[in-house]
Parts: sequence; structure tokens; C-alpha cells
Amino acid sequence: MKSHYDNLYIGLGTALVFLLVSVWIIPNFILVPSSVQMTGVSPSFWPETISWSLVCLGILLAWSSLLQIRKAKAREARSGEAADTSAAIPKLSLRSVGMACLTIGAMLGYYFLVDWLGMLLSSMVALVGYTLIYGDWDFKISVPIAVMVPLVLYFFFVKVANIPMPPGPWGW
Amino acid sequence: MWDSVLQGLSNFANLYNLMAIAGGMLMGVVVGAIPGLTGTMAVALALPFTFYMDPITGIILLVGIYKGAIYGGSISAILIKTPGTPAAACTVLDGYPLAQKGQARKALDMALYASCVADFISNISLIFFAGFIASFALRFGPPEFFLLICFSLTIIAGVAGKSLIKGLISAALGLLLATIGMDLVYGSDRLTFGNSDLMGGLNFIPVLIGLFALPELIDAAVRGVNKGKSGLHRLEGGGVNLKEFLHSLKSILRGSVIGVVLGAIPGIGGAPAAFMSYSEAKRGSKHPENFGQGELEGVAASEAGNNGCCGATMIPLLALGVPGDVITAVILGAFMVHNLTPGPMLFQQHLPLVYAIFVGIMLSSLMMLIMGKLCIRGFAKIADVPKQILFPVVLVLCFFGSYAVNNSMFDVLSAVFMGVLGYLMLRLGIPEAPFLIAFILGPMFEDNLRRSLLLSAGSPTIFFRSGICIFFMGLTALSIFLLVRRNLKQRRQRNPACEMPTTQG
Repeated sequence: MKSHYDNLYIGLGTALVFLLVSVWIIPNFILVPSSVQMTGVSPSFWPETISWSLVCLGILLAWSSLLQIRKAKAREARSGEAADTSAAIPKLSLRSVGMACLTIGAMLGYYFLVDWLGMLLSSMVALVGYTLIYGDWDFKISVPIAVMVPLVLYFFFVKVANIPMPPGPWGW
Repeated sequence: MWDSVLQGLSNFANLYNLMAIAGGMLMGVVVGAIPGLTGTMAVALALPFTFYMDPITGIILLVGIYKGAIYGGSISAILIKTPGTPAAACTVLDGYPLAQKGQARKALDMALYASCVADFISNISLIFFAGFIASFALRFGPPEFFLLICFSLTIIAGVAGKSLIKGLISAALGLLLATIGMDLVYGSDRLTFGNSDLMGGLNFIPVLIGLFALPELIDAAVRGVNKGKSGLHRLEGGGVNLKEFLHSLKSILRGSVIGVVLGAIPGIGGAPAAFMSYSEAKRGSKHPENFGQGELEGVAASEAGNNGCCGATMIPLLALGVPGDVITAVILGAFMVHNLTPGPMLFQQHLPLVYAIFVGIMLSSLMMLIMGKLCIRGFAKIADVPKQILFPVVLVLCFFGSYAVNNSMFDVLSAVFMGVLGYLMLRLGIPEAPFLIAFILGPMFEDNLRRSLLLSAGSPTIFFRSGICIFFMGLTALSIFLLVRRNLKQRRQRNPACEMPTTQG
């Protein structure tokens, strides 16, 4: 029962989002040249087909979840127990939401740091930051790893594979 | 042909290739043995390192990682009751009870021998069948390829997990994102939103890294990394003797054949092969009651089943250019990175390269045995590596790897975006494997559809033009019918409360 409510929301959400994609994004952001004569080879044909399929799949998921909810309610009415309407996707605590935001935010921070400090230094900073996020700071282990791992990777890509990495303000 | 074989041998015979097999196998076993890291993640992270390598060296490295990871999964399954890979789930049933009885060494030895034998048999089948199927596929034109890819897309159902509809949503999302970029027929922009970085479409490697590595890292941070002892069993007891090996040989051979057959069918994968092999061994045993209590034959059967798939999943990849599972989908990407297109033309245009890869694949079975015997004590400790040190290193590796694809920070941003999307999918119980397979097959699907329609001036009758078309159409219809029937059956049997992930916040 619990998971059917979640699937109902996922289905409705999918259908709504891709309805928007189908009626607004695809017509506005895919250019169809006037020379196109066959629908099947038009640049928008395939994305439109997929997007409408997603709308249908969303509706199908919501519909099948509704049927399951109805069945479960009927079963529960027969057995006399109250219907359980809580969601089956485990609810995240405030701390967990915070951790998810912090981890994703730190990834974006790392991305912007690369522009400023270059790949080598920013990777060292990121390693220190992430070791703290994962919650196991041990100076004797964490610092050597934070220095050595980016150095080895940087050396491999720049010197062995000849792939230039974004340099920092000091040129490395 | 013999000229090509000799040339393939000479192409292979250098130190780098041997190091690639050994290194790949070592990396694969290490990753496979660590619960939480997957073979797909390892292959994805190693892919950028292969750019500068010779194609043979790069592909052999990835194949080594793939095979090593499948074997490595058995180590943590036996020692800490946590399968490193889904394919090793069956090995837990008898492997862990053996470790509890103080026979961990015996269980690990048997897992190694069974894996090597099954892998060897699987490789032989690859060499034997791939060329044969490829020569047949030379007759394919765009409509035949289109219908073949239609059939291949049904493998999505095999990796869709508990909900087929969610699997299809994931696949459709992958197909849609694969359309981003410049249209190849008319040259018009598709969903680029005026961003020039999107003109070439989303690059496969950042998508792969973002989807398979980053969500795990975010999830680990959210759930908190377990810092307690893993309950690792010491590597004690004697190894497997010849009598014990011969006693299990029948199950190993049977499991290998099951693995080859199921592995060659796109979308089935190692876990079902392991369970089928295990149940057949149990059924054929004189003491079926011992299975699940620490029966050595059970370990042999499950490991033979899952390793028997390894070579066989490469059959559809090399012969038809269609991946047999998620990891071979990544290896398909490695071919593309080196401007090689797996399929019948690969056998026509690059036969020595194909033979060189075959030599490497054959040697990988031997390398697995050597590495397994030499490093088993070290491997046994890997399962205990602290994740709080490992995960930040993996994250840095993701950034280096994503950037190295095109020297573009946009690719790094794509990987982060895909990581967030992957995490949302993980939370909502939407599987990511169908997304990746669809993302890879999508452009081929659309390209062959449009080429077919251009050839026939828009007439759909072109899809009925040959027996091959009809064959694939029938196969697709049959596959869909069986999958829907299986899905409905499972739905009726399933406990309705178990569809969602059990992640705790």
C-alpha cells in the first residue's frame, strides 16, 4: 500500500513534466527545417515520440498504482484494519537532507574551485573536505592521501597521457 | 585468416598488454571485493585512463577489470557475508557458512578455481560464436539493424528491477537525453538551449561516471559510512584438494554452460545464471540438504554460473555491436572512444585487432588464476578498507576522469548533474541501468530508423523486406510477451510493500 502512493506521485509527476516537455520545450527548442517532407525523419520526431511515451508511462504508473491502492483498501476494509497511507520511500531526516545538500553543494564547490585553483590544488582541498564530510579525519592518514592522490593522478594525466589539466594561478 | 591470427598474436605480444591484463584483473578484484563499489563503476572510472593507450591495451584492461570484479565479488561474499557484486549474491549461501566453520580458505580457493574454469569455457564460446554470428550479420542493412536494436532494447526489461514501468521510464529518459545535440541529417539544434557545449550532445563518459559513481557517494554521505568492524573472517583452514575439486567438477562444467547460454542473451546477466547453476547443482546432488549449510559444491556452482557469463556477454557486443549487459555497454563506449565500431564490420576491417583481443581475453583466465593464488591474502583484507577514505578518492577520480574526456569543464558539470539525477532515481526506486543502455543504443536506433525511412521514401514496408527483419520482429514480440507475462506474474506474487529502496535517512 505504502509504495503504491509513492508510485502514484512519481507517475503523475513524470506525466506532468513530460507533458510540458512535449507541448512547450520540444516545439520551441528543436528547429524543424522547412525542407523536411517525411514526419519519420524530422529532427523532432524521435524526441516527441519519446516524450509522449514518457507521458503515457507516467499515466500508466499512476493508473496501476491507483488500482493497487483500491485493491489494498478493499482488502483492508474486509479485514477491518485502517488503511496505511504513509509513504514507502524512507523519509529523510533533516540531517540527511542537509547531508545530501552538503555533498552535492561540495561537488559544485569543487567544480568552481577548479576554475580558480586548478585541478591539482582544488582536488587536494576537495579530498580534505570530503574526508570531513564522511566523518573520519585522521591527520596521519588523511593529509598524505589528500596530497598524494591528486599528485599521482595529475602526474598520470599530464605527463603520461599528455592530457592538460586546468592549471591554477601558479601554472600547475 | 591465419595471417590475421598471426598478426593478432604479434599485435598482442608486448609487455604493455600483459601489464594491462594483470593490472585490470588486480583492479577488478580489488573493486569487486569492496562492497559498495561496483564493476560498472570501476570500468567507468578506468575508461578515461585508456584514451592514450593502444586500443588493444585499453580494451583488454577494461575486460580484465570486468572479469576481476565478477570474481572479486565472491571474496566479500565469503568473508563478510556481503556480496561485492550482485552476481556473487548466491555465493553467500554456502561461502559464508564455510567461513564460519573455519574453512574460508577452502571456499575462496573453490571460488577461484570454479571462476577460472567457467571463464575459460566462456572465452572459448566467445571465440567460436562471435565470428560466426558476425559473418551472418554482414547481410544486415539499416532496417535489419533497426530491428536488431529494437530487440536489444528489450534487454532493458532484464535490468529494470522490480518495476517494469519504472525501468521503461528510466530507459525513455536515457533515449531522450541521447537526442540532445546537433541533428545529423538536417544539422539543426535539438534541445541545446543555445548552449554551444551541448551541440555535440552529452558525452557518454561523464554520463556514465555521473550515473554509476556519484549517486553511491552521495548516498553514502547521507546514510553515513559504517565505521564499525565488518566482521571479517580470517583466512584460515587448508585449501581445496584435487578430490574436492573433482567432486565439484560436474557442477562447475554445468554452471559454465548455464553461464554461457544466459550470458549470450542480452540483459540476463550473472546473478540469474549463478542462482540457476546453484539450484541445478542442488537438484543433482546426493546431499541437497547440505546446500546452504556450507557446501563447497554450492560455492563452485554459483561462481561457475556467474563467471560463465563474462566471455559470453561479449558475443553480442563483438558480433553485432549490441551490449549484453551494463558493463559491456561501457566497453562498447571504449571501442567508440578509439573510433572502432563493434559488429560485423569490425571483423572485416580490424580482424587482427579482434584476434589480439581474443588472445588477451583467453590469457585473462590464466591471469585470474595466477593473481588469485598469489594475492589471495591481500585480497582478503580489501573487504575491510575504510570507505570514509575510499569514497573521497573515488570522487576526485570522477572529476579527473570526466575532465579528461574532452579537456572540458562542461563534462565535469554534466557528470555532477547526472550524479544528482542518478541520486534522485536511486531515492525514487528508478533503476539507472536501463537509462545507460538506452542512452547508448538510442542514437543507433534513431539513425537506423531514419536511414531506413530515407531508403524507402517513408514507407514502413521496408521493415518487412527480408527474413532477417521478420525474424527480429518475431523475436522482439516474443521477448516483450514473455517479459510482460513474467512481470505480471511477479506482481501477483510480490509483497506490495517491497518496491522501494530500503535506504534509511
